[in-house]
Amino acid sequence: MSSHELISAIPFAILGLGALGVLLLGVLPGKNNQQLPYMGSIVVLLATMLSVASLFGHSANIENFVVIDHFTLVAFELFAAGGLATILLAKNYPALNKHVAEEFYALILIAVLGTFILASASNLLAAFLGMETIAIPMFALIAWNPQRKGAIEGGLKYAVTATVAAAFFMFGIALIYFGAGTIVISEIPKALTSANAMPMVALIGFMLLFVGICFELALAPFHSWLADTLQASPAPVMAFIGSIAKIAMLTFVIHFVIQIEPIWDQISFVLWGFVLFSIVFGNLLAFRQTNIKRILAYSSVAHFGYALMALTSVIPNSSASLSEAVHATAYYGLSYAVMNLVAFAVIAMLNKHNPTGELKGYRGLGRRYPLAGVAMAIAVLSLAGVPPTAGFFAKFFLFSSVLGNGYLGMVVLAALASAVSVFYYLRILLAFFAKEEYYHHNQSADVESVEFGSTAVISVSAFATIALGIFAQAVLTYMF
Amino acid sequence: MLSLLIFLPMVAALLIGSSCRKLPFIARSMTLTTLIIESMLVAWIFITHQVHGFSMTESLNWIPDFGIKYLVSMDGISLSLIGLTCTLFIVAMLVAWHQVNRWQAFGPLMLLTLSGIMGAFLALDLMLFYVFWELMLIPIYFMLSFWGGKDTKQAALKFVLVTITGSLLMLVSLVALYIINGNNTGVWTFDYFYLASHPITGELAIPVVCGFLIAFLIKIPGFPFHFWAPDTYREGAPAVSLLLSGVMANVGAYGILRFCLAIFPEAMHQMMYIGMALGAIGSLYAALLAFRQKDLRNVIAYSSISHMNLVVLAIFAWQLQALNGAVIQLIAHGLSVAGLFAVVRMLQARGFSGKFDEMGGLYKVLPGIGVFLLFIVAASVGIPGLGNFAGEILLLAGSFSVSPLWTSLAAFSIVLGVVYFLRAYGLAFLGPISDDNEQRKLIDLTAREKLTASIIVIGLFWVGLEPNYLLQLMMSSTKTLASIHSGSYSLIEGVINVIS
Repeated sequence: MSSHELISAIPFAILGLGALGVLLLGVLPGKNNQQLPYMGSIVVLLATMLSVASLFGHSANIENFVVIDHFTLVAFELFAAGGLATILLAKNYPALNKHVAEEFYALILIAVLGTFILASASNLLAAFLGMETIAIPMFALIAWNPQRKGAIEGGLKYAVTATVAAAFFMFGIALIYFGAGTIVISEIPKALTSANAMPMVALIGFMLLFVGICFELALAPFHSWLADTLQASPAPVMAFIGSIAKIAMLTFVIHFVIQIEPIWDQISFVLWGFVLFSIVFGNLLAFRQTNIKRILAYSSVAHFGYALMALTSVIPNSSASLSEAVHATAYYGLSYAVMNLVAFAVIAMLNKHNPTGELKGYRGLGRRYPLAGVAMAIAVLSLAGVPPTAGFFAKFFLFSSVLGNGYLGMVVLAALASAVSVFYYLRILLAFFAKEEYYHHNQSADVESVEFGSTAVISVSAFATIALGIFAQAVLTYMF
Repeated sequence: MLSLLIFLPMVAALLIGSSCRKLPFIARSMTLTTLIIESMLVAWIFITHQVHGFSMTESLNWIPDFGIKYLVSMDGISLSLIGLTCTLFIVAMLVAWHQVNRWQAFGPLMLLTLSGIMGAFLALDLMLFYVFWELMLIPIYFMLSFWGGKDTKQAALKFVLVTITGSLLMLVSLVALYIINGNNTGVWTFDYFYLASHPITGELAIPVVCGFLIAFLIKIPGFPFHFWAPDTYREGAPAVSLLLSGVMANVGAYGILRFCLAIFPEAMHQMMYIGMALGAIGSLYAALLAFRQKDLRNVIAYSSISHMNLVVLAIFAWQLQALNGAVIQLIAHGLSVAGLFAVVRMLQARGFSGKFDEMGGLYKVLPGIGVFLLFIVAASVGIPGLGNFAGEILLLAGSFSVSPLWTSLAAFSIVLGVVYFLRAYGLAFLGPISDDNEQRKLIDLTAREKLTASIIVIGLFWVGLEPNYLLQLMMSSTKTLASIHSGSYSLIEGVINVIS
């Protein structure tokens, strides 16, 4: 490993060592201080963001294991910011109060490290490693404070799903290695043309790999775990799973597709079924939910269906079509992460008024907390794809990419499905701004203040949701 | 200047929304002030005669990778409709004056709607148009949901779902148009001028234009996409229904006029008779339904649908007089429907929900409102000298030269209009008065209501007696549009001379 590569690995090192350091802060002698690991983990994440920022312009391939390029660096910044948001939200989150200690922060840092490895993987084993580095801390984080109702159940569901996904993924890797003789992603296409290759075996391997990925992304028909898990987990953790962990997987898929470009058209058909099912079932299932967490979970199923539409429809041997699809998907992922972060942060902030997340519990809260109300409105409108928010441009770029590849029927279906989705998104807004029924009984509740962490996360990400839309050009240029 | 028209209300809305949380009355006066400033800006454009063809163009690159520009410009058609928009917003404000309790929310929403509508009338980049088109929908949805009758949430939801379905189909068409044009010409753009000078032909043109037409017809509300309208108009607060029927409907008609005709001349020509038939059937059908209603608000809703479908007929007829008539009719219809909803609000303020069986003989106690309503009814049924007559006569004469059959059919809706309006007027204001209503101390027009009424009366007289002013204003635009049809399906160069 050359010194140049060593420099590129600094963000990983800071995160990993930082996580251990934060963990060690807990065994400091003396009074157990919650503030220290909190500040420590924030410092670690900020240092990571800074070191990532200093790497822009670099690109490196470290030991055929991870690849650092401009796009992954942008993704790193997003993930680190997401981790930061999670920590800020968790600080004053009532259901976790008194239970958030250095382990919690360290686990989040480790999960962020996992997203880094996954997003930059150039080797299938690295991807597997990253995937598991995200998943294992999540088992604990979902079931954090196990006395909560459903905590263990949610954690267990996630654990089982993640393990099954890992098994598929691992088996896929084994078959690909068997068929192609390499697990370095960019070498697979060439290896498959050699005399000893067994393309059929490799193809089955790819299918299993994608089943694993679809489990992780919660694409239909492997979506059933997401709603239960999100409902069971504390809102900050939910924000991490819902917006950052899934986007890390999406980034890996994008990276994978870029590296495997020559044979992508022979594999992409595998995804069609997932895409179609996700768009249709995600939207239909969200229709009947009365819990905001479940609505967002099912809408997320549909959103990942949209997001993968562009990559699936790429025209064979057309690099223009591929690059357009990659742009569209990456922008979709970014805007999805940001707008969902807004929604989850609002849920986390209002948790003390409505711990279950049932829609009717939110009646009038949008009026009482105008910041939360307006931010939720922005998030929901963006999810529904109303201009000029990020969600709209994400849809627009996606539709033009897919339509450019000649799939009119798919686009019309997606458009109709998102028209359906407006219905359940508007229900959220109606609940938030409806007249409050019991408001007058506890006037005193009016004066309570709102914590710094959630306010900061909500306002920054809500602002970003609109800015990403209005300055879409700058974002596109910056991302690639 | 044009950007100022768009963003002034938006900025004002943000300021009012963030600063007047506990001060509804200050929010109300600030909203009115903003509207008046906006109207004065528009009036200034009218007075200085800056608009010939497309003028005052502003152009900026927005998302160059996708050829999206910030391109706004104004011609006579948009200027006339913007003038109407400002007037109606002030009327709506006066109508909602006492009815709305939370002005700190209602005022900003109204201003956001205004800025969306301004943007939609001014945008000449199709993507920008789409952005504003959706932008105006969201605030009005909130206004519908939280202020209005008891079923207003249902109605608002129906409205927004139908509209967004249309909009998304339009988005798909928009992207398809972009790709087809890009493949044909190699230029990837949403620029109206470029698209209009390279019109889309071939078999894909019809499905693509249909996406646009559905979205626009839903907004108008044109037959057979009008089904959302009666409920929404009835349940919404009168001020909101007024904006929906008087202003937002115009954006739909404007969209067909501006974009469908110029960009898809061949497809629109092929669909000419279908469109005229839809318009004629729609106006007749709505007129027949209006005859059977038991609620004044429903009569207004169906009459509005009926009149707007005449506009659809005229736009599809695509002939100079018809297009001129269509725009005049849009303005006259906007004013008269605003008057009708203002009357509804006046009656609601006096305890009548709008059902005919509560009313009857009200002329005895409310002569002022009675005379005002009679005036608007007269205008709506097309008495010469008032706005609607000028519009209807032009659009019917123009359409008749294209399709005598459908135009004659549509003309019956005007005859029916006389019948259903007079029936409604009779049920509400003539005949025996119930003792209850006679005993109640009803107050006739207040000063604010007189102001509302006089704005509308003056407007209708002005459009009716001096339509030439507006016709001169938009002549160059409608002439070019009409010439696309008679010519060889391509925009002659005259339209594209952008005077900046």
